[in-house]
Amino acid sequence: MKNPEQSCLLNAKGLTVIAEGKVLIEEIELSLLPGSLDVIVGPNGAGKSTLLRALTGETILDAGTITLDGKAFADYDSIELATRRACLPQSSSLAFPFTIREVVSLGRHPHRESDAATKVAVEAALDKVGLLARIDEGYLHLSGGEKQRVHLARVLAQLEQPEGRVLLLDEPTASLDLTFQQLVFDIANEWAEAGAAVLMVLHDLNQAMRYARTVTVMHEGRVFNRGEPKEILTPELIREVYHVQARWIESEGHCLLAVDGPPAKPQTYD
Amino acid sequence: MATLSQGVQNTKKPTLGKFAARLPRRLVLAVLGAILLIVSFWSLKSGAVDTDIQDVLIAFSGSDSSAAAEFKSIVIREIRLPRLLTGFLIGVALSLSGALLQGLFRNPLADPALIGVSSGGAMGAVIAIVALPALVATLALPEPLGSAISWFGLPVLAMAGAIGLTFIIYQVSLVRGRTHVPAMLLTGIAVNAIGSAFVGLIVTIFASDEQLRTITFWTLGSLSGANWNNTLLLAALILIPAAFALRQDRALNAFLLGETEAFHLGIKVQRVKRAVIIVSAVMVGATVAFCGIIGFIGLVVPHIIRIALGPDHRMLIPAGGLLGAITLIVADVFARSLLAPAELQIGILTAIIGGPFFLALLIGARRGRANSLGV
Repeated sequence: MKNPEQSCLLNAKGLTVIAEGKVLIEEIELSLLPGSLDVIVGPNGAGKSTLLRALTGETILDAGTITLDGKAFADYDSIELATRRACLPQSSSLAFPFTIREVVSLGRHPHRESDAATKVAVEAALDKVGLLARIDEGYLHLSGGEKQRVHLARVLAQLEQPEGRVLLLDEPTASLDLTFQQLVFDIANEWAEAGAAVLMVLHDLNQAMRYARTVTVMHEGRVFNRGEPKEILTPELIREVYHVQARWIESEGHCLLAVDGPPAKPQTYD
Repeated sequence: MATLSQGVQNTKKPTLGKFAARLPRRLVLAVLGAILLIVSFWSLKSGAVDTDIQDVLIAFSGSDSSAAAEFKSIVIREIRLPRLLTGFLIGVALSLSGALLQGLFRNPLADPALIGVSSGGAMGAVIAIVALPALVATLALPEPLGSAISWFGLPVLAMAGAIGLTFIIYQVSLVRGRTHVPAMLLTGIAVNAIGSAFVGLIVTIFASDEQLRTITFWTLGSLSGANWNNTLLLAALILIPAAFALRQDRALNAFLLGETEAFHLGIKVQRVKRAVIIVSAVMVGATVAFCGIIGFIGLVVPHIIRIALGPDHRMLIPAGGLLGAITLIVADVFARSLLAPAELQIGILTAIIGGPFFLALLIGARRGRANSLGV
């Protein structure tokens, strides 16, 4: 008697967003299960960011519904929703002289709690991203990658614990060096295993192949294909969606994408 | 994971400098409160009639009933006290509306005058001054109703002008249900140009009407019109919005991250934005109606607080309100005493001190020092 939709944490149906007459995303179906680690890939302009913004609830949908635990986004109190789903943006424009501690404390806004409780949650989150020792430094002095780690800590502090939470990450590794790219994927994995639904937008197909449990390929505002990365991210799909000739090279259990250049057969435009 | 995080912990020294440890809120507010009390006494004893602290105390206790003491007491209670309270209220209003709008725009350079609030208020005020007495005369309203309408109508029209213009700008800069901040700021600039032209035109046409004062009253401000009636009205128009501002501290903190991030954190973004615009427009409209446009307080005071105490609105709003009041009271004492018996326009003083201060900040920012300007 178990309804499959009940076990699913976040369920999006028929999402359509139109801006100024242009269809940005159309008829998107997506469900995120607890313990899932989903990755969205696709060329620029495919609608990845629009989809992510729709999934946070910030975009006004032209059609479609999004439910969390079977309850529509619109029926959630904004504070309640904020304790259940969080989103790490690509970059932040914060230009005020906060300390690292203060920035992460902003993530605790939805939790009505004492300063002492905030302190514990903030320090735990900063420990996760390796910035605990620098907690009282000024945020504005940090490098781009360090700022991104501070915001990751802020988002983790916002959700507090993985179970039943939706963690959305928009190109989380874009400004990070290899050490911290690895750290982000470790945290994402850890959260998924502990019962969160993690969804990442990634540009790097190598990363998608390596870390995604499910990959969704977006193309021209629609879901082009969805499934296990090894089955989905074929050279044929890459040629069709990205218009490049590429192949996977397997080495000691890893897959690496080698891009050979433009497609072998030049496309005809008529 | 443990080894990873140990490996990346950097040994670089904290770079925030001496402000790394924020001062406790209560201590800061107590110190500012004490300073406010001191400058208030100083303000009450300063002026054309020679008085000292003793006279101030006598004025409130009534312990000396000699004719000389009685005269001084009247000067202090009926002239200086309402002026002191007006200065306090205007200082709070300018500083808080600055802090609110800067939080809203996430730009520490945002100023009440920037989004058209001040010139909108000035337009409403000059319309009130020209039109209301004419209206009262036409309708042949009996006294005191006629003067009451003229008196009460002035701040009401000024606030209406401030709110109305702010909303027009707000609507113009609304894109797909969200405010486009650069568009809003640029529209503000255009509206300000129209506003000052309008005020200049009306003042020039009706220059004979002494009620209209002068162009400099509107552009440089003055507390010289302070009296008990106006002060009580101002108190209501400023303290209620100020109490509201104090309650928006956490929402404004989240706003500094960006509207999207604030939304993710559970802030009702559009509602907070609307409320902040109305509240700051009411405060600025009220100040413009009675004291003209006084610049720089809303820009410099929140700035000083951010540099000294950090950008947290839980500190910035109460401490900014107190420091704004202190600054305006001190500026008013100087405005009254520097060229005595003549009076300097207070906006000249705030510009003389605030302008270079602000330029220095900009130059510092351009040299790449870590700053709170975001420029």
